[in-house]
Amino acid sequence: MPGRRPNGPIEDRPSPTHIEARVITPGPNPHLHGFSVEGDLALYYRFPELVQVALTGVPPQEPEGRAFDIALQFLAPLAVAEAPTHAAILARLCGARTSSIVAVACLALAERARHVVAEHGDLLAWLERDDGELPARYRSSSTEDAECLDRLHVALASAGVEVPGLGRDLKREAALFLVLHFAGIRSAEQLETILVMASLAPTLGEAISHTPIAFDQYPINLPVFIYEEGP
Amino acid sequence: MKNETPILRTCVGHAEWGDNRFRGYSVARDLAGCEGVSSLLALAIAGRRIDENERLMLDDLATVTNVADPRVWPLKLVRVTSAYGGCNAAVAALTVVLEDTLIGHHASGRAAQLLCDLSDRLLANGAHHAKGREGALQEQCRELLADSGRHLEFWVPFRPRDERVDMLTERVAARGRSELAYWRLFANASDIFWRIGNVRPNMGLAVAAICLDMGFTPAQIGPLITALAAPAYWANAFEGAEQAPSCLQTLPAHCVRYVGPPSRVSPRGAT
Repeated sequence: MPGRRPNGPIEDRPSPTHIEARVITPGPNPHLHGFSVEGDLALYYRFPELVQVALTGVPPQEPEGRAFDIALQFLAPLAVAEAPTHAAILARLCGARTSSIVAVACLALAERARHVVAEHGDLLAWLERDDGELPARYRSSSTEDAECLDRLHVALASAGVEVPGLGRDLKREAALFLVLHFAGIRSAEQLETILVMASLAPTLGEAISHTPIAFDQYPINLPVFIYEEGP
Repeated sequence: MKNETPILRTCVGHAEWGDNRFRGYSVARDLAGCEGVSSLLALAIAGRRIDENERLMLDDLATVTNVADPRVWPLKLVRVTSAYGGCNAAVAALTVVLEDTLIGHHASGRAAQLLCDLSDRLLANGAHHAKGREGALQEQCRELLADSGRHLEFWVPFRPRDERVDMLTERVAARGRSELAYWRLFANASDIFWRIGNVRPNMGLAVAAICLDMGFTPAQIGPLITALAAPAYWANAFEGAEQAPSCLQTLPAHCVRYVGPPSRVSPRGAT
């Protein structure tokens, strides 16, 4: 038997003997913030609403649940031009196992989410203040944004949802942040989680449609990299 | 112009016929047989070849900062993540966690910025001669201590002093680097912190001083030290993946205590 070393600073310091569970009960019949997943939420709530419960602790009302569902769908697709999907495809191309492709997608989606949420910091502050003018940089006069907002209004109206303050001159992402705010998703932590979750499956769908090791099909010099040696 | 392919410039590397370029050097002719891991990492991140004394100092630093106990929080993360048998995922998880966090090797970049700010303020206050400098440094140290909640550089968990600082101090002296500007600033500030606040800086600040004296920037120091500290990450990831222990895949039930809201019925479930 190899000899044990004498106590060090970790053994000599008192430490809790249990890990605390604060949201999900361990064991059978799991509860989320106190609500039985299998005996309550699964019967009366859709999956996106379970996500709202997980992040806010509060089961949503019907309009907030429907608005959240619609926002998730609008946020979901990130085409191959976007870094998370591009990265996931590269992982697939390298012949990575599925768990690695999922991990790469999550990582890149999380990096993107941090960036996007940071860019909307002034919008989130304005939403919390609930007064004054919307910061001008979140307004848009582009046709693409206007058409997207038209579709968003149609989707929300079809679900009988009216989101206060959701005009037709917002940038696409700002409008979706307004809908998420209405749905109770308000903090940067909640928003980053939702941005990752919304896009994960479509990103993986795109990635696994590509063939592993099919290097000839991938544009290796896009963008064009120019190597320059220092002075 | 609209459909032009975008261009990115890089100084990192270029694949060539029969050789490869790395940071301005031929791998075959300039680097092979000359560089070690620590000097290659320095070249990778800072784009500069370091001299032999600097390389040996970085080797010392990598060795001395090697605390591999799997219970230390970031390394525990490695063990939990590797519990299903994946080694690389665990290292990736830790690498991601360390960026811009308050503890761990990457935080040495933040510590370096603190030392740079300290040095700049001393110069701005005109503390050029030794006596004035001592008083000004003491004043700056008092301000830092008053704001110690923001500065984990003075937090040594579980023990009265960071043994790695003592080991580094020995190695810095052995390499003849004790009189370099940032190390002297670190040593003087350490004495003052102990005298006026009964606290000692941790390894992050010492490492930062060594790297600043080599000319690395705070932005370069965080990634460099993270990379140099990799042996502790890989050791835990490899052993953790080999073990793939069921007790980390799922902790025994008696080790978990639920402290959240009591069981309740949802509004829709109640109607």
